[in-house]
Amino acid sequence: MAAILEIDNLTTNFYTEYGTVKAVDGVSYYVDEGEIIGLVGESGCGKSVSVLSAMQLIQTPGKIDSGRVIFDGEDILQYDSKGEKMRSIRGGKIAMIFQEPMTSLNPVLSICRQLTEALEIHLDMDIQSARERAIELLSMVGVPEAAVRIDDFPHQFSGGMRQRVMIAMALSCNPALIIADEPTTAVDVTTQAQLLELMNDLVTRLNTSLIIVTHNLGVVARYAQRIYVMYAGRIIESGPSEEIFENPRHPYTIGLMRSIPRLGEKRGGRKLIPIDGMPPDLIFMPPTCAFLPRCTYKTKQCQEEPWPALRQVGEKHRTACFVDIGEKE
Amino acid sequence: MTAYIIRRVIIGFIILLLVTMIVFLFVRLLPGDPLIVYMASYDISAQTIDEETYQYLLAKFGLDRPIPVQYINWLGDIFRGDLGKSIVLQEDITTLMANVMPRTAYLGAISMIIGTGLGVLFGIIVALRRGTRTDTIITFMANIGITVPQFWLGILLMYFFAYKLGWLPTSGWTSPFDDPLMHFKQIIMPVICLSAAGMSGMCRLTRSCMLEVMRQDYVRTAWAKGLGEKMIVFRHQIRNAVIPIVTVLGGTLGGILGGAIIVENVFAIPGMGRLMVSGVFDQDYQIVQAGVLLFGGIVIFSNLVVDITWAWIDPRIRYD
Amino acid sequence: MAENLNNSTEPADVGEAVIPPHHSEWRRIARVFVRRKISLIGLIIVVILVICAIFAPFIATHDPLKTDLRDVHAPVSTKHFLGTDELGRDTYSRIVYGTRTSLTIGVIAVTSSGIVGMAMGMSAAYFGGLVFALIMRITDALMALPGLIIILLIAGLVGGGIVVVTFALAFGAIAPTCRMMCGQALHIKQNDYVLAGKAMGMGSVRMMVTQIFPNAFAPLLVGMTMAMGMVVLAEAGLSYLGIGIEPPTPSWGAMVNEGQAYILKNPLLSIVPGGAIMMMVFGFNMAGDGLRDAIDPTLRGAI
Repeated sequence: MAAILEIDNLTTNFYTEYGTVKAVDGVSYYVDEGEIIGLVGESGCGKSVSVLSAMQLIQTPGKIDSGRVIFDGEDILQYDSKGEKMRSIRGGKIAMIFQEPMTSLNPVLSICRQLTEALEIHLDMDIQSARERAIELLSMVGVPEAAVRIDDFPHQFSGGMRQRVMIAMALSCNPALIIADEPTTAVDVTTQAQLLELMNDLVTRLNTSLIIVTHNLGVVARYAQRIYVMYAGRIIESGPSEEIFENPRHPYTIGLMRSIPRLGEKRGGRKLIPIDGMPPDLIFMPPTCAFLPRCTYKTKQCQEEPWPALRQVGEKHRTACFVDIGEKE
Repeated sequence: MTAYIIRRVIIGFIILLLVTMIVFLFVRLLPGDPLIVYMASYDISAQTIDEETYQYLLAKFGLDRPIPVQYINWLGDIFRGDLGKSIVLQEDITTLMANVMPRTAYLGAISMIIGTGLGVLFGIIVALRRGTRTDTIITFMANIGITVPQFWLGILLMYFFAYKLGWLPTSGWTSPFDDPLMHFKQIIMPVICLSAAGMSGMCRLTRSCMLEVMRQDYVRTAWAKGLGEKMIVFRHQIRNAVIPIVTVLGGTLGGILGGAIIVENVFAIPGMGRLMVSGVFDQDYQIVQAGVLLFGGIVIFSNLVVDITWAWIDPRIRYD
Repeated sequence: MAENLNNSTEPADVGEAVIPPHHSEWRRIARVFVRRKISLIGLIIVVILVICAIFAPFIATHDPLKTDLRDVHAPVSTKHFLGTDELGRDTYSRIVYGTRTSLTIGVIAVTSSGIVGMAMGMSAAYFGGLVFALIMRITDALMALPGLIIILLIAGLVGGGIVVVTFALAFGAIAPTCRMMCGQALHIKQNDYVLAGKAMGMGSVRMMVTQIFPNAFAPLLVGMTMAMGMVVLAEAGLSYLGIGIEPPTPSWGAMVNEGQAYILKNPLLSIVPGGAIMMMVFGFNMAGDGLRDAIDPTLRGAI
């Protein structure tokens, strides 16, 4: 299967008044057709920035400094960020769902207007058919009485409902890929599950690829086929979901696994261990592995040599660590 | 929406009452016995009249009653359109104001339209070109505009355009019905002076509102949908940016009316401002009081209009 | 917790260089000022004017009140930097002394309106309910009257003069200060530390003084800096109209007015004091802008 989107060695920096924040530092990943991948990491690790960079939605002081984003055989980073070509990709071929349903919809425009505008641009629909299609989309994502609610304004919708509107908006032009940036972080747990099921359902049905960006391992465990774990602007481990969960090879991933409860686990069966320390300051990055200060596996090599590159540890499993932690738990 | 409008109207009415109360209390409580002022205007000294006459006069003007009663009577007069009689000019203030107010209102309205219109326009342009030379220049001009004293700007304009270049008449007022060209020439400089501050303030506010809106998540959503920049600016940004702008329109109008007092004096325009300032000099407090009430009423009314417009723009209020 | 702290200091073993420098709050504010040149210029103007006001007798070359009818409307020269007026008074010296008048009135009016407005605003926010509604409606009413108009009313009733003008200017500046403080206090009131204080049974007054005031101080300072510009401008306007400062006290607004009659003969007489007013207002406005952005960029629009 061919990769639908390939991000290659992407570097995005933010030039702030305190110094240069290396938000994304040479990150590469890809998504296959119809595949769901998860991009996991703590807040501030660069996962959102990497997808926003791919869409050229980074605002000043952020700047994409190098790398390629291959979509449909073309490097879309070469397109003018406000130009015709990039615009036809945004929303039309790659759609996004954002984290904050409360602020991601325009408060002064009706739901109908916000849904139809993409249809009018990308699919050349007239107002009437766009409206019909919008109602159809709304009921598809489970908004009750879609034909009535279509004329409502965002403030009349609950958080979960707004996120359904966002999903409808993303699906509207039959994109090849949807990027969901922390899609369920801002909604409550029961709604979270419903939204994820809905998204999973729809993308599987429409054979759309999906990138889920999240800090919630539970979310990716359930839906993603492959996982990329990010730390301090880099990918430190990647591989198929089961492998990552069964046999994590990077100390950070291991730490993450230990710090979350698992479904079906007995209470008191396993002690949850938090990862000590704080993520590094992205302006003052050490030359060595960024996880070193928090690492419990560190060796002399780690303190002397620069941050290791990803190396193969399984058929599709790669990790950026010197230490062979092996198959122990 | 209807409930909202009714609520705003009631609040506007309460504010109007409070304004009258403040004015009344000022007039009554500040040093300066209205009776003595009255007598002074007839060259009668307070010492020369006996106690009995004094009491008679107090009773005649209703000044012997308790303050709240005086207030109610006074308020009743005002709402009947009787603003009293000017002691100095010996004329009915309502008639006096009916003559001069249209000029001030006319100048104020023109300046308001030009000031806000151009101010918002410049603000949008500057926000869209932030960081460029256009931004630097216009923003600097706006910073100067909110700083420059109106009377001084007036004098500078007069010096260059009237005295040095001779393009415009120095000052005065001609009715547009008598001589439209002269009228037009005469109002150019006053309108520039009156609108400069408002325009600059609007430009600064619009710029920061637009920049604020540009950072919002929904604008990012709009970009992510693949909309073009024009559509994002016009459909998604401006409407959100004007909401806070609309709320300050009332204040801008107040500023322009306040400015009219000075500008009318610079350019010798016989309007409300001139009347009030001469009232201050003549210790003719009735005229000043009437002017204050009128200006206050206009600002309150325009604030009410603004509130309703605001509701019309912002669906969060419209559908409450 | 202790373990966490230990661990977080561990980067020391990979070299000192990686420890992020401590960003001091004052250094940050200073940096914003330096970076925004216009704010720095504003601040410098304010400092120069304050120095002018304090050391006026040393900076001025002549007695600002001394007339010399043998030397009226003197041109610019080394003796009279900006010439003399219709009574032979040295314009430059009058400008220098005018700084005193403007700044004194400005500082007194702004400080007193700041205190009253702050007390009102904080009470409104703290007590809420009826007190809030009442204070808000009063400020609405005050704000419906354009500043200059309230002042005219007061001046019309008791006549002009420096005391009346200062009082009137202070009165006119109360409403905006009150509004701003109320907004800030409401914002702060929602913070946990205020709730904690309440839970500990702190009294209202103590609460306001120890918890809310220190946190609302920075925005108040910004608001007062901005108010200075407005008050100076309003004072100049009143003096221009002849209601404000009585002659012969040097006041820039009055100087513009007096010079207007000789605009053709001696344009400097009007132009220079007007420029001085503009400089002062510009200085305060720009310094205030910079201060606001430096203290808290989110205040943009709130003040």
